Amino acid sequence: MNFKEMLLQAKAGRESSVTDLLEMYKPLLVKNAIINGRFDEDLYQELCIILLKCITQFRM
Amino acid sequence: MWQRNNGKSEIEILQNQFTAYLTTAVQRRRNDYLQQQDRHRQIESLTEDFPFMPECSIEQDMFLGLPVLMQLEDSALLLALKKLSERERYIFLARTLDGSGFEELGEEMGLGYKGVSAVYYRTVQKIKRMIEVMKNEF
Repeated sequence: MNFKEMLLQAKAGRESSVTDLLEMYKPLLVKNAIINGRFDEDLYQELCIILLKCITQFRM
Repeated sequence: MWQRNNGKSEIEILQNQFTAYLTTAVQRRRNDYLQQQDRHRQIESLTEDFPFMPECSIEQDMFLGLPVLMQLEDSALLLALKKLSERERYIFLARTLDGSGFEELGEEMGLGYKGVSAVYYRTVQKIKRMIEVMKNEF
């Protein structure tokens, strides 16, 4: 499955595609969730929510 | 493993666009979060300090309300100041604490610039000597 299909399916609300995207972008989210060298779980959760929002709001 | 994205095919371009979109959103959220945390920390520290503040400020007010001589912690200096004449003490304190100039003081006391500075430096010498003597006594 290529990225476009995955994104389209995630937009349509297929859970496994959303999970795949989340796994795929996990490193980016983790990197941005580090404050002063410490991993901030609350921030990580906020960023995960942002990813979900981005999936629905991104226009192709 | 994900292959490196060269951004050549349509799908790769799309993915790059999505990644850029996501990165911006994530960074904005991160900045907001950091600001929020800052604000919380400020509010928290304010309320934490509050119960201790009244005591502290009352103590300080009382301390500042005392006459100059009672604010001194250095008892040797205190004793030395007590032994000075009124005029010497006035000139010394006005110069050291209020930072008045010799000229102003001279006008006030009816002395010249040189007169006041002579009194001042003589007083400093006296105080030094007295403190030395007291140190040796103890």
